Amino acid sequence: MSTNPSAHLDGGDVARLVGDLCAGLFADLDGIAAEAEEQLVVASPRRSDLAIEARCHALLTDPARKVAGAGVVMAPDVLADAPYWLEWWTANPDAAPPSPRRLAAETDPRAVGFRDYTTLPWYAVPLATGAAHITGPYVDYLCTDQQTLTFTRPLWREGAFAGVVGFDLLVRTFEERMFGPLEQVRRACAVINRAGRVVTSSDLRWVTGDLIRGLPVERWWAATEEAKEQATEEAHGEWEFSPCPGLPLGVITALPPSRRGR
Amino acid sequence: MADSSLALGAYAAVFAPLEAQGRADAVARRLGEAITLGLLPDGSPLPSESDLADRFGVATVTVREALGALRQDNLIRTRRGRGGGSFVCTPADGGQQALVARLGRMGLGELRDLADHYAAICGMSAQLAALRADAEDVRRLRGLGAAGREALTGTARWRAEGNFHLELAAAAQSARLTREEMALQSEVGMLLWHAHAQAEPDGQSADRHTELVDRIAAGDAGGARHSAESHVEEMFSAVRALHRQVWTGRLM
Repeated sequence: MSTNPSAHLDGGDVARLVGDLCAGLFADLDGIAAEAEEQLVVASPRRSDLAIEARCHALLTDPARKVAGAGVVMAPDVLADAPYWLEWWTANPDAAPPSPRRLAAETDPRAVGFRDYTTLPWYAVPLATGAAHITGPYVDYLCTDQQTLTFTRPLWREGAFAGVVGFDLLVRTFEERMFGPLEQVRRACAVINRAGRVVTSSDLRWVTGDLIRGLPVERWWAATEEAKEQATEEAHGEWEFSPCPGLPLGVITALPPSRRGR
Repeated sequence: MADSSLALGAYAAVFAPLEAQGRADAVARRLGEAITLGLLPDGSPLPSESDLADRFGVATVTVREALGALRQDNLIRTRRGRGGGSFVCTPADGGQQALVARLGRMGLGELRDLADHYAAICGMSAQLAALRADAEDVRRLRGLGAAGREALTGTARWRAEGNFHLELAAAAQSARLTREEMALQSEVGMLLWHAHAQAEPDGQSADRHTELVDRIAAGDAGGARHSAESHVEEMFSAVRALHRQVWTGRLM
């Protein structure tokens, strides 16, 4: 979708642009997943069979992507030589060029420093749904130390869930990307997640990380689910909701005065 | 979850780069407290000197100096030759000796300043969390807040406390408060939780956490702040009592 800076956009357009941005990033993730899945085809795979570092580095140093972390997190007991295992690299996306570093994380479940990652949403949601997920905005104190969106998708081995591959996008990077399109919506507009948390907003009342209160966010999402993938626009009072197709993100836009008060 | 739930972040924080101040001392203190707290398990190998130097962002000679100090305090032992290196020795007294030594070097004014700083971070985190935590955050906080109740050892209680407060700052959606919380935990966590774990009535912390989470869930920002500040005050009064014992020579 082209974005002529002087063109006028509506909430549905912004939802599609968010969808395009995320689809591009998820396509990169599919590449990493395909590579990792191929490496796991061997009988009783070991840590040394995984070799995704080059691809993760390529993603972390791509100036068009500006991701802050990327890697793989294995499901328990998939690897023969480590019950829990993760390989994750981080980089400052604004450095020129970014220099990825391996994240130091405890993966020995007997150690006190171990945290069972299988309960964390970026792992638990793809495990439960078998589908890709975006976690956040949240303060990621395990890795980026900043407000982050974590994109993850399942990794499959012999038809079974074998872990997730994912990457971190700083919310700031997302804000930079969506600032222009949001400005082209002539009315107040915000990108929100399933919990009604603001990812980015052109309405000065709301800031990244705030929870939207007093709007029927749950009802909007329930209606979206009923409509199954079809983008449905829902209105309430002064606000209109447009889900981003296939993503746990949506866009709310202030209605023009003529359409208010339904 | 109770015993196995120290954040990966706390481990990563142990090896995060240091500011350029008292480098050998800082390396020794950070590793020493991680060992005392049980973040680095007994008998586990430390990374190599050059690897540690790289992670801390200091010279190898600085790391060597720090390891020398840790060896003197019996917090690591070093084996030469193949399969050699430095290995963690968890102190049998749970760090009591190290705590007493530290309190002996600290004035009461410094202690109060520390309490004020920590109350500011915790109180503000709680206030903002009441405005910004979603249902999932509240669920996670409840789990971590209750973890201390099932914790059997002192170490497990400190970890439960540390995890809860870290998650509280994260629920405030503030990266700065979260980083400040982590820095304070690595600086004074041991002091605070060790002293408090000795003094508190059973389950007091878990009760405080429950009360705090209830207020966050109700969106009561002022109440949440008050509750967090009282909790910090309780922890520090335990430290003050211990400080007095140390300074009057009853605990040396």
